[in-house]
Amino acid sequence: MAVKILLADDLSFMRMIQKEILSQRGYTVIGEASDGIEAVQKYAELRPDVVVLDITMPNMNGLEAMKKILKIDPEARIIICSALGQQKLIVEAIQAGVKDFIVKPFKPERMFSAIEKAMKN
Amino acid sequence: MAVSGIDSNKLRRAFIEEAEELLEKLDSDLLELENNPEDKDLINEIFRVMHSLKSESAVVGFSSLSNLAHKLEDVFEKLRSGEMSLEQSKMDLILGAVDAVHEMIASIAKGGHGEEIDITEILDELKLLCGETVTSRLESKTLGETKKKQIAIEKIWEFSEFELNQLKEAMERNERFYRLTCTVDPESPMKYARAFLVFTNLEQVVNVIKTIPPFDREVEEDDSYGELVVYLTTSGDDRDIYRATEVDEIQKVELIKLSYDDFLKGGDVKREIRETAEKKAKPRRIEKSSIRIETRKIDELWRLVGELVINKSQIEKLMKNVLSNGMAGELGEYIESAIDSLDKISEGIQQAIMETRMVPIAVIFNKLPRLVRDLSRKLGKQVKLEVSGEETEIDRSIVEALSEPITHLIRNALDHGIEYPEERIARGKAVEGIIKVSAYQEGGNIILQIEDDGKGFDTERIREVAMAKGMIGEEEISENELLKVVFNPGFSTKEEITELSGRGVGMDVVANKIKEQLKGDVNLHTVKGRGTRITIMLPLTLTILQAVIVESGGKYYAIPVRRTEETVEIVNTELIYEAEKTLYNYRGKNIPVIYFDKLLGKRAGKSEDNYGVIISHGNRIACLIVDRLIEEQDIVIKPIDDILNENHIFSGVSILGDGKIVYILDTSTILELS
Repeated sequence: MAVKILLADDLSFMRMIQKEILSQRGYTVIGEASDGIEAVQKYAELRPDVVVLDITMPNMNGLEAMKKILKIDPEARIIICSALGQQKLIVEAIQAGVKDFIVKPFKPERMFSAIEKAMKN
Repeated sequence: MAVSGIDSNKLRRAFIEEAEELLEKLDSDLLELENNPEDKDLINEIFRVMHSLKSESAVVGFSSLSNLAHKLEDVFEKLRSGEMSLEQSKMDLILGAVDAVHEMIASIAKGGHGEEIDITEILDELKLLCGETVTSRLESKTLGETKKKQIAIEKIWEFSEFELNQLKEAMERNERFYRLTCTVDPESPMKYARAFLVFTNLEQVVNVIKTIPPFDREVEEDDSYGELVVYLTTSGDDRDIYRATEVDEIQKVELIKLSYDDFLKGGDVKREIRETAEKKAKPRRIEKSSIRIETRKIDELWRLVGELVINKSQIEKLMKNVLSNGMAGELGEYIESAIDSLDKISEGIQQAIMETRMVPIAVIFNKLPRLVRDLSRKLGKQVKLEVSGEETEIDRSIVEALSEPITHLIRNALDHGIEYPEERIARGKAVEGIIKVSAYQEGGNIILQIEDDGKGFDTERIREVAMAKGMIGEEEISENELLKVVFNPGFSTKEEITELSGRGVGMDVVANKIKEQLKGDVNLHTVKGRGTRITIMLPLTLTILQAVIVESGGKYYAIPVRRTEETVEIVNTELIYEAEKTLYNYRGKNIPVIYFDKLLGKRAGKSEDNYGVIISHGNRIACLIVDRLIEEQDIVIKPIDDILNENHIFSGVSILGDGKIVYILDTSTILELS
């Protein structure tokens, strides 16, 4: 069964690209969110297998959204997506329980491998 | 005895600094040797470097590196004695081995122990070259195992009391003890975060005792951990450990089971040492806010200040002319006060930069307790080390060059000086020998003494060996003169090779370093059966010199003030003429007269009035006759080219405020020529 993914990024262009490469690989993007609040709502609603969460988003950032999602579902598989120079935020995310992270700009393989590893656990 | 803490990191840093310095010289020497394979001086020099490297690394516990350096030393010993000649194939092997030395030091610099570099093959080839038999590969393998154990033991230095306690508890709970090593993909953009993710995952499934590097502080944006070592205990499934490391961009994972005994037993001893060292170190700890600056940068600043000082005096001289001619008009007063403040500022800068170059000699002394402890245990001797004056400040550039001779002298004192307990009892001495190391400042000099209450030098034996080696003739010479041969290259009264002090390359290395590189002096005082005292005298700084400027034959020369007793006006009739030499009565003693212009190969001084500078160095003294005394001032020493310095009577040159060049006299050479 195809892995169901929720994409959260404030840039629609980024979501478009990610959706494209994920679908080519056979994953199903079951939802998209453009900020943290929406991401939490969509998670509760759709219960995806994996959430790919951008760390910098308006209204509620990825870190906060991640904490909220983990409250809803402690087993949630979350992959944080960040830009270079955000190591401090990533460390905070790890402390808060994120399963993996990827750093932009990334090659598609990075994303696949992160999702596969997350699915194993 | 006041000793600051034994800090393995400090030790490691100091070792690396020294090793890198040794290697820098080594590389250029090797390249030269390839072109001149017969050059005995070069072979000697490389032999010494290997010898130093071997001893240094043995002391710090990098045994693999020490072994390799030892084998290379053996090769150069054979080259030096002429037992072996140097063909290209051998050169290739040597260069390969030296590359391995580089790699090991680089790995040590990164926190390793040098054993990470496999040198079995190189060692075997070097052994074959020296005509030794080579152990089979299988035996080397088991050797490798014991080495691994050593790594573990050495790592204990990095375990805190708390961590050792945790280990003990885990052992009592019957948990297994592992070391996990993970390598992060070198391409990974956030290596710290990757390593941190592994660490976090592990913490959920096992008991993490310690990680290297640690995660106990706030992360910085540019933190980057290429490799993570985790010491952990667990009663769970090993597969959980591997699963925790299944993180993206983690490439290599190695899990090794460790024995508690290695850590806890060794830990007791090390803990004891650390505790006593910490106790002693605590009251002395002064927290200063500081930043690290490359020495190179400070040296450059220092050089620029030297130029500034020269330039400033040039301006001063110029303005004096302008002012005395009334050319400045009413601006004169302003110019004068501006120059005044320029003078103060440049002096302030000079002082401030000089201070940045000064460090307490404790940086060298701190290594000594460990050295003495390790060596005395190895030798089965009982030795107490007494250190004083560790707050004495010395120029940083001296520190690096000074550390080696001091360690060498201590090693000598322990190895050859202090007797074995039974021997000491038989001689009615206290069982525990004493080595005293002290430092203090006296005028522009730093005085260092290393004293032991051991058996002293056997002067009769020295005389025999020196005569046999043709270093002295049949004639009677004073004990002082005799003791100087100890500092000659190739002199040794000990025939056998010992691991500690080696085969008599010691004292000449020491003397060479102190005299040539540090512009100092070394003296030996020994009483048979009672002990030995070695006194090292060093200039406070190597680049600025307080000097008496004199004129001779229309040129200017500088004499270091610290080598000057007095300056006197001399009427020719005051001199005492004898058949071969001229003497001058100085404070009731007839001392030799040196005509400086004669020394330079010019006409003999015949003028009616002359000036004399009484110079002294060690126990030699003489009256140096010059035409005129100019002034006393601080000058900046610059190196002198050998072409201008055939007799080696100069130690450098300097430029005065008016642009005049002065030659700085090397008083020790001049006194020896008299």
